[in-house]
Amino acid sequence: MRIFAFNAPPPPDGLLRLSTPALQTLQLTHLTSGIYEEPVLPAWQACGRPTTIAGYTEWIDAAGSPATLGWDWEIRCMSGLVRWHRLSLPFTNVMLVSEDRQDFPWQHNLQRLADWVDTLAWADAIDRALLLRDSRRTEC
Amino acid sequence: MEFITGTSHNLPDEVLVGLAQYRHEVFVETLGWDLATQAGLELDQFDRPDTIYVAAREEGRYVGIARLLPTVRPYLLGEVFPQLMGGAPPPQSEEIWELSRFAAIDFRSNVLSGPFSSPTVVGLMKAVEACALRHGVSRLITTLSSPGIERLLRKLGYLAYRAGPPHIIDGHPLFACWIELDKSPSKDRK
Repeated sequence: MRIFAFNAPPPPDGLLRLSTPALQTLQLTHLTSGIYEEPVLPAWQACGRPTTIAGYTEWIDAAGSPATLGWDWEIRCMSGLVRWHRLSLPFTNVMLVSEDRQDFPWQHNLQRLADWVDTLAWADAIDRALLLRDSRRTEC
Repeated sequence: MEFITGTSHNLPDEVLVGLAQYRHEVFVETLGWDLATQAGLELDQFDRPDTIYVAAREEGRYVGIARLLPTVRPYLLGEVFPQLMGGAPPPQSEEIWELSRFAAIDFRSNVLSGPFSSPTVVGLMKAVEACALRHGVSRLITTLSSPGIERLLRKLGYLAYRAGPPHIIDGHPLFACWIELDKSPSKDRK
């Protein structure tokens, strides 16, 4: 059961306050992702060096709440291993509140949201979205 | 570098024309935005007598611009993109201004540096903040078309958070963002 009402009037500051249990019930769904372009310098154009790809990703609540979370990610390729990493704390409108409905300090809030994001299988969704985008570009 | 602040009432015509030309170069020619233009000038219905401009100028050429509008009168987000507020009504308050047309590009610079290290961006945001605070404004609302600006605000120490979920427009996420001016965690901007 959600512990907030979508139809409640928004608070003056615009933040969407959620308890930790309510956060767990968000149906976080991938909206879009993109890759950050990096400048190409001659010294960087060397085959076989460790490669990283960085980008952003945006997620929304499929259940229709105004919750939004986005973060930066990075793929690190080294010695044949590919690993996805969350690069930044989330960018969001969500403010987690304690059991006595007090706001967490903002940085603490972002870290708690990041910890929750890290429990989600977000890399697969981004991978699929980027592959789909690239295949559409090939068809054009 | 100098920073200029004013409205169409107190800024010289040459400054206003220069800013409109700079906006054309940035938003139309470089970023490819589909905006109505005339004779190489980028202006819209929100360029009014009460619109405040903050500009950065280096050796006589414009290298940055920001536009500020009170939210108690028509403004870009409220009129064109209210859906970005996530269901909440667009703000209308004397203490809230809209920040739009924010850019910091020096077209003559050969320095290969990202926007996060640009002293122009830092100075421009400081000038915007100072102007807003002088007028009793405590929050800004802005529409972001690039994730980079949101990252930059955080890097500069501003307390910025989204007003609602992004909408995909022309293949890119567009979203509204609040910027708290008197609650930002770091008063010593980087």
